[in-house]
Amino acid sequence: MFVTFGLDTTDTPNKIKEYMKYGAEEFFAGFIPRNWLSKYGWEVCPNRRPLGHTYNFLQVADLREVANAIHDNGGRLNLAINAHDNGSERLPYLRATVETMEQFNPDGYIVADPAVMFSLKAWGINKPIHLSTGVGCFSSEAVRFFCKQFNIRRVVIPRKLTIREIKLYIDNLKDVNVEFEIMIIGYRCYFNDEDCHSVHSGSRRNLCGDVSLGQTFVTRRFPDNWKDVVQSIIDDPNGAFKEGSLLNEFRKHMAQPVPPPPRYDDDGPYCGGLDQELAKAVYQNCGLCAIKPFRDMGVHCLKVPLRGSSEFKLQSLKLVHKVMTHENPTPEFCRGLVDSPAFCDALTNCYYNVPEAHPNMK
Amino acid sequence: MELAIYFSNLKRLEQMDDALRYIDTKNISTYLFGTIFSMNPNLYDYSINLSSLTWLRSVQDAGYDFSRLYFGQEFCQNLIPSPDELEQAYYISMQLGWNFTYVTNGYLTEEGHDKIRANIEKMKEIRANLEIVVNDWGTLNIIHNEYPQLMGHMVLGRVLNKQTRLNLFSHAGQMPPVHMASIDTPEKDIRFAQLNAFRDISLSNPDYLREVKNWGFTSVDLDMTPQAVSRPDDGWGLFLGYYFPWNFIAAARNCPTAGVLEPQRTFIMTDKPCGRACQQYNCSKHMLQFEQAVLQRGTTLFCCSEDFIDQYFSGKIPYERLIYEPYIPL
Repeated sequence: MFVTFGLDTTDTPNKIKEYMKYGAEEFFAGFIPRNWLSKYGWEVCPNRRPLGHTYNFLQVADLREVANAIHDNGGRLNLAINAHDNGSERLPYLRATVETMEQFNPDGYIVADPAVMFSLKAWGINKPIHLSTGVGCFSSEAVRFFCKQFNIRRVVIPRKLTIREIKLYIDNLKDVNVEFEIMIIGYRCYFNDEDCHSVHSGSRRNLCGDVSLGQTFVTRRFPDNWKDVVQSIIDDPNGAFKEGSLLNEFRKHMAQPVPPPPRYDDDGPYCGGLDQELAKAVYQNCGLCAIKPFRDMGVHCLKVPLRGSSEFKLQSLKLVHKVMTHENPTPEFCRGLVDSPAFCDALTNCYYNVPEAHPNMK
Repeated sequence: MELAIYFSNLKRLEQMDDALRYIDTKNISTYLFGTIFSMNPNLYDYSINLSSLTWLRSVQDAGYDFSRLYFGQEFCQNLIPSPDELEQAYYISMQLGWNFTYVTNGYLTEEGHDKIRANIEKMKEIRANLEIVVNDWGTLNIIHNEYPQLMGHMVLGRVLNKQTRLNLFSHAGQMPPVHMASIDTPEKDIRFAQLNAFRDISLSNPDYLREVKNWGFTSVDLDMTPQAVSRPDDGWGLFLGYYFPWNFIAAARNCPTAGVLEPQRTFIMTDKPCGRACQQYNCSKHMLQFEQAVLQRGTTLFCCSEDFIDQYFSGKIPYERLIYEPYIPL
């Protein structure tokens, strides 16, 4: 098992050497050439990380420097071109981007859009493809579909699967020569990446922020006769207010108590105090407790996707490395490393559901 | 143009007459209207059922009538209809003299595929004349390997078409915001290029389009978006359907509505059976910052397209099938 680690423009050759000490055998990065940026701006991005200059390499020289540092130290570099949807007008720009990337001899490409996979083939690029989480390979059949047609080295398994489902998935691909990669720490997405058709933008809060911060309402569904109720108030507006009227019965139905709305942030703001808040700021979502079962079932690679989070990256990597290399990293061991009971107790912070990590949860 | 109607479950299908019952709400005084409907997003789909029927009338007045039933669940594999329900839906469509389209789910797990296989087997058993909407690459692989007779009767579903849904960043006549840091190009030029890019979807890639056809697809389904889609004069050689009035913006497997009964489902996947709270409650965020009705049902965030559908109903945008959703397909 090894780590694939996200790089951004704050990373230097020295930092890369440091990352490699902690199990990062492989790195991934995005590149937006200046002519792309001048044409399309940030929001139409070749890799879904259009949030500003720290997330993507913009200068050929910078990318060359990190690519050389990685290869000189025996590491591997994969480049992300995993935008979901890529129309034909963008293809010349994408081709130029890939041809620039080819100068640095990347070890593979992380791709989400099958159309781009066909374009790479047509352009004579035969580097191994990593099926991005954006492809949405939730099953062994989906992986087989792509393996039939492309040089697939790895699949990034979607985050919204249970550990049991992932084991079944991997077991069903024993006869296929493909590596499995799992995301293990960092922001987990409110929706599924592959099923989110919004636009990331640095100019405003993104869709997931709007949704997770919005106030939640729970309401009974309308009764089946709701159109009769509407018709009745047209037919007899004054009668609608009488006891026993359809409108009265309708309102009684809708006024019955409902369960409280679920909270996305589990305990609410300020709960857990700084103890939770600090760990949340550093790790966002954490799947350390799931590393052992993933290792046991044959997952090859842990993804630490922290492009743009330069101040916290190394800390997260160190933790993942400690767990990954430990003989028996129990949930207790992992919690000890995180050192924030309030963070670990809040299931909303978990990447995956590991019931043994929350023995008191019903 | 073909007019289809979409129901995601048998109960809703059996209430089709009521779902299509038009009531002119102009005759209801505001204070009475407010006793039933409100700004609560959990109630939007009922009031939008009534307003969308007005649009539907305009299509029917132009001489179109329903000739196809779409049936099945796109977003949640816990809600996949059983083989018996699918069979009943099929026979209802036959009784009505309509064609039948089985809508399969997006992004299915191993267990989800078992359900899809059972349903296709049932259709095979009754020798159904079937069109199938494919929303998952694994399902496509299964069809290629196990049910090749379905090739040539397949629709590339809206879950697999990654068209950008701009609804959250724009409303009719307004452009989305752009991040201009480190960019020297005039903002208006960036906006123009972005909008064109969002209109230009992967199907326009000739290498991909060729394979889509080789895979057995003859049709494609999309959502109505404010920016619309650039489609060539030959229509890509594919029959195009648009859903109305609900397009989806994003979906997940974690589900806040399931979280009403079991809170952890709001944010994480579990192996326990789902309590199907969505069949009893609506649970949505209130997001008044958006111009259109944006709401969550089950795992999925939907947006009503009524604010920008003029171009789709005026004949300006050509398409071959309108898929009417009387209710959000849950």
